[in-house]
Amino acid sequence: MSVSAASDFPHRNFNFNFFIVLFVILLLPTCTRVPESRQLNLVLYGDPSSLDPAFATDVRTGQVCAVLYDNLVRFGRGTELIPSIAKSWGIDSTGTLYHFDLRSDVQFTDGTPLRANHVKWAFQRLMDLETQSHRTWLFQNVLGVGEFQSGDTNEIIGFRAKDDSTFSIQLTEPFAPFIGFLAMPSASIVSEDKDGNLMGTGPWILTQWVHDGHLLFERNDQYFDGAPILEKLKIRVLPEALPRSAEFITGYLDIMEIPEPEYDLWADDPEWALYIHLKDELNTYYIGLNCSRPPFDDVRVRQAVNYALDIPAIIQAVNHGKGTLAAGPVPPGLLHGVSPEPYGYGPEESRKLLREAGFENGLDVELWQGQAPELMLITEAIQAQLAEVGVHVKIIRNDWNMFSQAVVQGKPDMYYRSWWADYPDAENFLAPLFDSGVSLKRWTRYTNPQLDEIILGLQTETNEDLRQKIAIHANQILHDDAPWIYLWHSQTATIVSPKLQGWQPSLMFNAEKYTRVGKRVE
Amino acid sequence: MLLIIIKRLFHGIPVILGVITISFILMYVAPGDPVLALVGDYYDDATLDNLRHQLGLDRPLPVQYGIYLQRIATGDLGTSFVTGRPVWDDLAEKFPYTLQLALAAMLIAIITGVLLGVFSALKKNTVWDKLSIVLSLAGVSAPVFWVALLLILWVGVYLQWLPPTGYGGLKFLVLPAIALGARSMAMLTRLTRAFMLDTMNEDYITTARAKGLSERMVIFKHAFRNMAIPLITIIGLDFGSYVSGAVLTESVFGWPGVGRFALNAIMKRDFPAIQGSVLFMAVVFVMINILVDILYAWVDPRIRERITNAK
Repeated sequence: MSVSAASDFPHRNFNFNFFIVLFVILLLPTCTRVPESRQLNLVLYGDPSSLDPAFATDVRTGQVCAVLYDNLVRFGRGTELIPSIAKSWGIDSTGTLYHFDLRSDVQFTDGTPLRANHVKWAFQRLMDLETQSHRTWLFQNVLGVGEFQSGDTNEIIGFRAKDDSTFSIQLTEPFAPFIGFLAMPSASIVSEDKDGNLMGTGPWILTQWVHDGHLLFERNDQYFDGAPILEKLKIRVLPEALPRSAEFITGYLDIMEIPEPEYDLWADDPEWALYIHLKDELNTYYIGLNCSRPPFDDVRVRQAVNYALDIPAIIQAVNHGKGTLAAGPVPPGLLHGVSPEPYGYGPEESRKLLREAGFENGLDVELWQGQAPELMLITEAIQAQLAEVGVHVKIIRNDWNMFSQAVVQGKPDMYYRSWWADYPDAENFLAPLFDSGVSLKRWTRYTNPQLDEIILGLQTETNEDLRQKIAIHANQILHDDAPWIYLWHSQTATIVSPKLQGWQPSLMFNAEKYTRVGKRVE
Repeated sequence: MLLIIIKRLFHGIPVILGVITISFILMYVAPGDPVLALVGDYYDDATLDNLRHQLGLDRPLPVQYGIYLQRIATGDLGTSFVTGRPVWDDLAEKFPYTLQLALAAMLIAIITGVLLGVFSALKKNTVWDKLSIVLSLAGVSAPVFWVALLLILWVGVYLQWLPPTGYGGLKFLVLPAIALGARSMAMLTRLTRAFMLDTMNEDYITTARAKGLSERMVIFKHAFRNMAIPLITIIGLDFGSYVSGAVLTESVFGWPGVGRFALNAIMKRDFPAIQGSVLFMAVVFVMINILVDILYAWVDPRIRERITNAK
């Protein structure tokens, strides 16, 4: 090897100019991207799994369905239901018959006027086993569903189109939360165009979908509730937090949920702080405790771990103080603010209860969690605080699918999760989680026949005041029996472009249709 | 040459079959349940059973494997559990994006890497040389997502020269291509520099110079022919991995390519999509390896002769 040879390189003849020019051409932008003032730019963390509402089981699919389709009724900004395709509705005294007066000016995107038999067709399509929807439970208690699904009848008699603008639904028994189901994404009213493609009546019409890339919509000028102010809607798919922030700063996103680690950066900036919207979410973050085996089959141990945590400190450290302390599974917003007193931080009380339960020498348990890295901050804080009272926690981290399967199989002693409202009713935080039939198969294995009765009462009672009392009672029982460690109800911080006008956060994930959102032109 | 191609293609078949079998077994052995990922938090046992039956997951494993092989033999990669779309359609939609990114990354890596290597050798032991060494060391060591985030921050946000993320034109391609190609660029810089320092004093180079050739001709026509084999090796390996999907780069830049598709499929236990992606990647890898072998033979007559004699 002749290393010194390099010094012999003649520099004189070597010309880099050609390469420099090539490099500049490649690297420099040929033009700049200008944010469009007539386009609303939103972001999702992942691609919607489908645009068929029959398969809308995840939030992002539900959010996209909301701009493409309409329901008989829809969620307002809060927990209220407001008219949509149905201009009014009523429930008879038995609580089983719902009737809807439909608007006459609703039309599908191909111009076909929407009639009551379209509603019937859409609901029957959802329930048809050939559709293979995962949301058939929505209408499971509609009269005639069993016969339809077994092939004995070719229509569901509980869905009735009396005339073009009157539709009714007959249930087999009273089910108070049912009206909320009708505002869920899977209860969207769809039809098929002449080519057999699904179409809706929504304010936006899909023009392009690059999977994992973006969805582009044009406004539906014929939208019955007023055409959107902006001409286009673009929904980007960006799974990583920092690139989302980069796009927002440079003006290519108009609305962005602030990633938790970045919250202080935005909130402390006086220019941006003005554009942050905080929203109390209808959710509960919790640690599920496996009540079917020691140590958490003993209510004293479950209460002890509730007392052992300084949750306000965790909220402060991890969520920048955003969130309210949970005292039971049901968020206070669904109980008119009536909630039990939270356990509070009481390490002495915790140790006392553990001693009474026979764990004076401490105990070892496993805490399972999903893969998201930010979860480690929370579970490690919980691990450290529980260690103070002698509960030694081993954290098991897995991807979401493995984690969910383990929870269903009852493997974890403890698991970290959250529950978000599908419809704004206390029942949504009780029946799918604590009814013995579900709990024993899927969640904490907590079982309480008295609570089962109460939940049934909550489902069948139609008087709202009475329902409220029943829900408060159920929440109190669950507070006392503590099948969960109640952590918090979170608060989401969303930042919007200074140019954006007319946007306010909505409580339900599929409430927003972006029709009244505009942009200030400079 | 045709014989070489046929021979290499023939060698690729057991590799593909192995990949198909191993990926199939791994998928079923690994924990996780695709049906749970589909139904969300609301379901009853009947829904789960129906779904398992519809997806064919209730059949014995050998039967499922047989059906899978049969499908592949007819060119059908199946239908995604999650999206309900044919996996082939998804891959066909995403591959052009991945190929575009891979080509751009490779182009940037080759041009920059080779030039920087030559430059570094020309300026040996100067501050420029040291800088180039540090740069290439950083390129080899820095994780791709970190490089990507730095580029987004500096070029996209602070300088605002280029869009931070996205796709759809040259200006969107530059940052992800640099992020993805940084490692290859660094490898090529180091390789070129070492090669230049090693080769430029050889007799045949002196002869070329003595003929009165320009230095550019000496370097790029005569010297570089000897560098072709290691160059093709690095480019082939890296290009293979880029074309089969650059998960991190695609995720950070929101690039709708094959890598993200495969990752999403794995997260959701979307078996047909996983199988389809893995098979696709394996085929791409095998094809690129064949291409590399052909290039070896084309560039180096000794290799061509060896392969021809071996038959």
